[in-house]
Amino acid sequence: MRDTLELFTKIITDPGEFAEKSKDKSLYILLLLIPFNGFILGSLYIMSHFYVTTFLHPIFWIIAPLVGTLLSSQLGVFLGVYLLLATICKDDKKSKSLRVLAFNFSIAYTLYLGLAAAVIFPFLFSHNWASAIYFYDISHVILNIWIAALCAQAIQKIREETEIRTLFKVFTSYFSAYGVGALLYLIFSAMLVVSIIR
Amino acid sequence: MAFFSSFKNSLIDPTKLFVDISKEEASPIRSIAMLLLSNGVLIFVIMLGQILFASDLIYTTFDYQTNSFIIEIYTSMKFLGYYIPSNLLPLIFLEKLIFMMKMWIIPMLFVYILIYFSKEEVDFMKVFEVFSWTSSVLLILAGITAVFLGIRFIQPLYYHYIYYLIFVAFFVLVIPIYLIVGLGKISGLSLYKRTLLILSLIPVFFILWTYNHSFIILAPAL
Repeated sequence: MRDTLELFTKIITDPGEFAEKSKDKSLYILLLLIPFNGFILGSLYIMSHFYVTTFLHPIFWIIAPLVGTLLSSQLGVFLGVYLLLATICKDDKKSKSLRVLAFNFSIAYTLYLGLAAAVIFPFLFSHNWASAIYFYDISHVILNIWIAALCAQAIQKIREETEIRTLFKVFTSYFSAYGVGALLYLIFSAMLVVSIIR
Repeated sequence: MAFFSSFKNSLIDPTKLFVDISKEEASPIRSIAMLLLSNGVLIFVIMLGQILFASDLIYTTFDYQTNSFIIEIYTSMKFLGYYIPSNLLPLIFLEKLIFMMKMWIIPMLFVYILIYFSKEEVDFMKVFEVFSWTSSVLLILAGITAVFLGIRFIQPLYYHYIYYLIFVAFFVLVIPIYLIVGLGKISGLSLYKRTLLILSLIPVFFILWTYNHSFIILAPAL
């Protein structure tokens, strides 16, 4: 337990060492984090789109995790990164770097969602939707920058290549995967809206 | 460090260029020359569209965005309402060149101050050299601009949207990579800190850009 907690702090202080030491634990924690992320994102989605402004409403507790897990752009990003790096990384370190990268994304998104929720919850409760979306965009940009920096450091630690090559792969993979995540998000959102209208 | 061999390295092998910068004495004259050359060529090609076609969308978008950018307004006479007439193209070229110089120098100062407060030893002139030699990629962007002025004949309505996607990609992908690698050669900062430092410029300038352009961001929500 203590080792795991120490690893969680390393993701901020020394992502390279984190990448080296966390490879065996990444998959299990990833499985725990996806529903947690989904719950937070689902609750934000429900509150912003259906004006549910109380945590005590039954729809919140039942539908939010399901909706959030489906709609979570984190799932799309994870899949996108996994697929793209599977194409780029053709050596025997492929599985290690992919798991580490996927885990880094999950941890970072958990922290991101908590921060975004803390920033935009007051705006949602005051029904100031425009400001809420604006600050959501800003927090999105800031935290995704942090994710890119984590990935660059992690990959540089476990792969021996030039910095330019690492940065180029991380940036292009990341932004491409983000496009996949955004597309999945749009598709699932549209499906949900259509099913509710019907 | 010969100017032309450095210029060749900046486009073909930037790592070698930044290694040379870290080893040799900083040269402010070469740095300023590179900044003027790269930005001047890009602005000239953008203005060529206006000269050849009149109301070219690449130029008009560039002109509108630069004139309404908050930093430009408060670092020029624009905040007093003085704008150069649109027919005085040589003066407008000079105005845009000064704008682009500001857009390189202000982030450079921001980065240097952050490095200074992180208690890392780094030479100010070397940071300036890294930024000014990174601007050489704008010559590639100038070539792309010329290509898109040709694409205008095929797709006159949407060519500027695709062009500005590429324009933003240069400033969000290519230039940060150059700066991150360059700062690594002249300082002892880790890759993680350098990536955070350089990429943090993006939301800062995004927020500044939205000051006069927030309707574009918020339109879907309104």
